[in-house]
Amino acid sequence: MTARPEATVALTGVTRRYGAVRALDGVDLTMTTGVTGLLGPNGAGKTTLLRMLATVLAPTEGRLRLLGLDPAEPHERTDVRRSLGYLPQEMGFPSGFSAFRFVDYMAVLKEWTEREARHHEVRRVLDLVGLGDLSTKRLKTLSGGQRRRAALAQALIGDPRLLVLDEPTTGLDPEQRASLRGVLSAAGGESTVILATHQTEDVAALCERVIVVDGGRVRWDGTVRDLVATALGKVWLADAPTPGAQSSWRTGTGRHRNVGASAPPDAELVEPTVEDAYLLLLGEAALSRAKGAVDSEVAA
Amino acid sequence: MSAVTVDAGVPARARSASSPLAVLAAVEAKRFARHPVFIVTTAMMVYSSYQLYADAYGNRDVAGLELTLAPAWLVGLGGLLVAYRLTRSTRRADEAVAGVPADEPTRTAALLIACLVPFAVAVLYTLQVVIAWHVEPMTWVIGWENWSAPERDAMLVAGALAGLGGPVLGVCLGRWWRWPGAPLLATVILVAWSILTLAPWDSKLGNVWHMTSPYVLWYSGTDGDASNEALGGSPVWRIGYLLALIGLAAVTALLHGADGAKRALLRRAFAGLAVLAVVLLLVAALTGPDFTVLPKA
Repeated sequence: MTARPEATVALTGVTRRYGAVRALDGVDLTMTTGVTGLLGPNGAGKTTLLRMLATVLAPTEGRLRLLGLDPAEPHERTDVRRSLGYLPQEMGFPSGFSAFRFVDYMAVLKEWTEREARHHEVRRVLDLVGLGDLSTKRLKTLSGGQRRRAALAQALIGDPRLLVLDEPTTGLDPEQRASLRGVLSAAGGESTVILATHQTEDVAALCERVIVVDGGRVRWDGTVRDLVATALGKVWLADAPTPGAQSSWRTGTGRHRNVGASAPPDAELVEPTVEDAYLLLLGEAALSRAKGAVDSEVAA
Repeated sequence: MSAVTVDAGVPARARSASSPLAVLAAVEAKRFARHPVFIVTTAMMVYSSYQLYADAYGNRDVAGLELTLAPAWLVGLGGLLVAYRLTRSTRRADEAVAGVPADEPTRTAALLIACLVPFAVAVLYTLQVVIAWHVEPMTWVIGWENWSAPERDAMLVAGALAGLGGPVLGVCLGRWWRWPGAPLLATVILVAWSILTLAPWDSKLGNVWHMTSPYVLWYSGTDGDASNEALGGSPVWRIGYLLALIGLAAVTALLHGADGAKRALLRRAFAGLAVLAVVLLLVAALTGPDFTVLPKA
């Protein structure tokens, strides 16, 4: 019999209200080591959940335990933060700072008080995100993707046992994303890594577990394989959009990929992806939101 | 569902003999010392120091107490701006900074400690004025005979304290008054307050009024006026009042983001300092020399 993994994150009936709005509504979750993907449409409650896991926001109701500690207690919250890395969704930088100086400043805030060890660690995390050669450049002269990597570097300081990342791959090119997957999968070996993203391919490539949030509630919690399995037999190719399909679009081959609750009897079924399963799960409303996002990305 | 407790200690590589506050304070002090506004005001202080000897001792056309203007207005108000900018400089990274072990009061404390940098400049300047003042007494200073030697020294020390109070107020504003024009408005208010409290008012209540200002010139009028007035009150006790004001600004700054026992402690400190400030203000106003119309210098 193998020992049950230690829970590094435990939420019991966690609710967060903003006025009359319930951004999170009675969420129960436990997490252990490994990489967990958090999917959901805009406004689903992902960022609220991540901010709670980063000890930035307290639940309105319910119980939150991180690394076995209660972040509502100031001393325990500080202890959690000593083992926490957090990349917010939107992050700016102090003006005039280079990448090295910024990450070094964050390392000081993370109690890396010994100068030599701190500088060594700063160089390590900058190298990890591929910014080693650009570390002396001022952040404002770097590209959006490079700045995002500098932001990620500060989250990686000290190999945190709890790594909370809100859309870490935003603005990264495919090569950078692939490199980042390597970093995060390595981190997931000993740490609990939670990443919120709209990139379903990142979840498919990286995550052992996926949680889908919508309307402040957990709609799916399981392995990526199990999520994909929910779409088996519900994705098919056809020469034209199939009436009744939840989603349909013309692919590069000229054929139409259809996603729907039930395929026609003579349909040419294809392997579903995480995105197919996600779209099916969230239904038509999520589908139109996602299509809107894709259209705007294409237009951009 | 139950969570298994696991250890959440500091990574081994992070530990060292230095406290995080000391290291952070050193970082903030360096940032303060390198700020362009601070460098410019310090250069102006050095020039002002040169003027002290070239003009005051050479031509003797400078009223002595105006020497306190340099630390108060250059380092005090300049330091207010620098401290505000440093405090707000990480605002764009606020969300990430909120998740680090150095909580907001600790970061504020580091900034407050960094305010010792401008204070040191103001102290050095004042020290050389005090020494010069004692080596060759500036008997030509308006109202010279009206105050005792400790009172005259206290007036100069008050100028140096402005070099601490301004930056501490800047940190306080940076925490609580988060809009771009805040330091400018604060500067205008401080200047207006100082000017208004200069009005000659021969009463104990008048003493209280002019003592409230963080910066006081102890006489009104100039060499060109028909008469000058030495304001009443004790410059020595007023030092205590100024220290209480600085303490209040520091505690107010620390209160931002404080919670639990720390917040309760700070609130008690705030209440204690507020009472102390009022008591010291009254003592300073009701003791010391009376309001005096001075003969022309």
